[in-house]
Amino acid sequence: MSQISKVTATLVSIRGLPASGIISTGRSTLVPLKSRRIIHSQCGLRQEQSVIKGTGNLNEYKSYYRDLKNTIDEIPEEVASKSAALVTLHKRLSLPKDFQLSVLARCLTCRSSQLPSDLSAPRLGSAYASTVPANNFFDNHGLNIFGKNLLTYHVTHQLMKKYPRLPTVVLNAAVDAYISQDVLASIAKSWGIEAETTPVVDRFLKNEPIHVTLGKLRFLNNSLNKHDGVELISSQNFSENAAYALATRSIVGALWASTQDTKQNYATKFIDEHILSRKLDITRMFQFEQPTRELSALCRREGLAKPISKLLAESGRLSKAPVFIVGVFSDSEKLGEGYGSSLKEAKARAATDALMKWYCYEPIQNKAPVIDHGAVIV
Amino acid sequence: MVVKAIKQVSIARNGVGAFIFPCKKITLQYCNWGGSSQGMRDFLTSKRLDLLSKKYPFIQFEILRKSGHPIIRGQYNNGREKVICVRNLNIDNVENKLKLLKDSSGEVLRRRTKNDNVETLNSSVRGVWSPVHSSMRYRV
Amino acid sequence: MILVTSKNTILQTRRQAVRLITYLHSGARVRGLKRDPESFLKNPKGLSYNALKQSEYQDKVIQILKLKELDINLPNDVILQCLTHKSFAHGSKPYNEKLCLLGTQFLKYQASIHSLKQSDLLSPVGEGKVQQSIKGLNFTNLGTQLGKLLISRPVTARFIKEKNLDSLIFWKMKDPLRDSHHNGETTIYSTVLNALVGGILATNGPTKAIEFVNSVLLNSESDVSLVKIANEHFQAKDTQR
Repeated sequence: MSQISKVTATLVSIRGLPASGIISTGRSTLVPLKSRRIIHSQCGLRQEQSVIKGTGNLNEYKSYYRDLKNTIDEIPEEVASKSAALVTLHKRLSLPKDFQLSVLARCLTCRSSQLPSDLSAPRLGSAYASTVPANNFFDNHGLNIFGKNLLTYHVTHQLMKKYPRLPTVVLNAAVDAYISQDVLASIAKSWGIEAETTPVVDRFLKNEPIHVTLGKLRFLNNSLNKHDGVELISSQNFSENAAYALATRSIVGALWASTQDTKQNYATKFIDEHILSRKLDITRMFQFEQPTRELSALCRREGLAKPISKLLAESGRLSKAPVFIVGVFSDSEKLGEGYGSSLKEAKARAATDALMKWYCYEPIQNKAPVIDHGAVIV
Repeated sequence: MVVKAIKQVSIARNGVGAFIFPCKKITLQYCNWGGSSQGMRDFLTSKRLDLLSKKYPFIQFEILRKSGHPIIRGQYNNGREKVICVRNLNIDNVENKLKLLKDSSGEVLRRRTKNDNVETLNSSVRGVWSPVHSSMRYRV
Repeated sequence: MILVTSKNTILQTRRQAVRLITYLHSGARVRGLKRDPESFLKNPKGLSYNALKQSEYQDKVIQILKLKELDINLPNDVILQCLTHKSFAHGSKPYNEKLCLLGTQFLKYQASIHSLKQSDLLSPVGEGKVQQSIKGLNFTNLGTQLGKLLISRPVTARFIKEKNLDSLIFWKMKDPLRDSHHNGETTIYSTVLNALVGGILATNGPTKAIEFVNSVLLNSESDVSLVKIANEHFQAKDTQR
């Protein structure tokens, strides 16, 4: 109990000093009620003590801070190899040896996480000064761009190979279903990547070695605690999910970079295994407005006879719950079949079924590629 | 445009493509003084943990000294954690508990009722029987 | 009770009426009259869609893009599809929308590899800082202005224009009386280049497509290439400032 109160008291004193520049509002909510009472009663005493102790601590803190900054700016391999979280993540994803640990650590450094470069001139919220984009750092900015390009290309290509006749809107939605920000973020979380949420000061007070943070995802709020109640509103996307997605894309990009000379298709195989193996039911992504009209336009374009709907079976026409089965035919060819509780509904369902069979056509593998003529425009 | 797209999200299937081991971290907490930690201390001083960590290099093992009963804490990729208190257990039982945590998927355990044994994303292979499509016509 | 209607009744109840059209209208649009396909199956330069000759059309494209030299076999109908925009004939002819989508992604990917492998730094370096490369690939080169410009619409459209492919493109102007900017000429032209890349990728596979992109589009030594045009654009922007 007393230990907690001591830590908090020193913490408050350091936060009060200008160097940290972090607002310490609502911090006490984290501490259980009992110990909070102790802080209040001892507040005056501890304040004095910590001011005397302050300068020494401050210098130590500054050097810790500088070390941290230097390490993150240019992560040496031997420091990275000490980080247990990094090593296990590397093993968990079964990444090749060419993929260095320092590169993996780089994938976890988001550009928004850069620490304030100017330690001597603190301002209010100077922890945020880091967000100014700098060009020459050891972050995942470029890796993310490349990973995104590779991911979009590969996923689009594979989907077009599998379903050559998908309409463009549905194809785009399907690509999105695989590699949208939220999906990539959930993939990063399922890989066991954790975000760094402890402020630098807390880490300093805990005497945490620098390599521990290398295995965690560092993004904007790594120096501010969630509970501080301070939020930066910015046009750029700095949410937690965005940072996780950055990490996934960067790992894909870095994997390509590390294996492209030795194992050519390693990165695309990685994408196939981790992202394209997810389940997506493509037939549930269609919404037709006028299926019958679209089907007849399709038949006209493809040179088929006009589609005709025929009633195949029915039950209980005059009852409360009738069922009609309607098939749609072009000449003697049956294009689709649908059910419904009215003739109209069954007809629309039959046309939708026929269209779905056209659009979701999957060619047999290892056959000549199918070049689609484009979706039907009514 | 006549056809519109409905937004969908792909669902993860761990093990279909790549398999990510669900347990990411195991923390072993012991007390240097208490008698209830004897088994845990034996376990930590033996070679068993070394062998385990070599066999499962993708799990991060952390050893923590803290007063109180010994605890094994497993953290999983789905964000959950499971804790087992191993007080007064001998070295073999501690190892078994550790393996139990290691093998867990991190999901909440739930009792399955009689016909709730299969959980799948795929549609039935057999399909649904329909009276109008069957070769034999039933008449009332 | 379930009734299954017999084949006989289907034939009786449904008889399809066929409308025979004898008059096809050409000239000014009249509501309710069907237009003569001859009158609208033409591109803005007056090239007729139905009267294309392989020697004048497909062979020309193959020669301009040096597909023979690269041993790329692009079928005639795919070439025509690549050069047809969705706006043409209300999408009733095969159009290039999806090939363009694929080509854009592929070109973006290849252009980023091109920027990565560039030895000179595209983004300025601060004092005392070193750009960290991974296996000789400089990832800080990505996301720079020049890198983005390489595959931007104006640049790809200029490429099509300088290669004289623009007269072969089938599309429909929004308003033939207004200028090309209003009609979105740049967008149409850039989709054509992307679609050609997509078409090559879909029919000939990635290896050939990479070869095509590197030797025709991103080759700084040839007379017309994206790299050259992008550099000119970049310098023009710089002098404007």
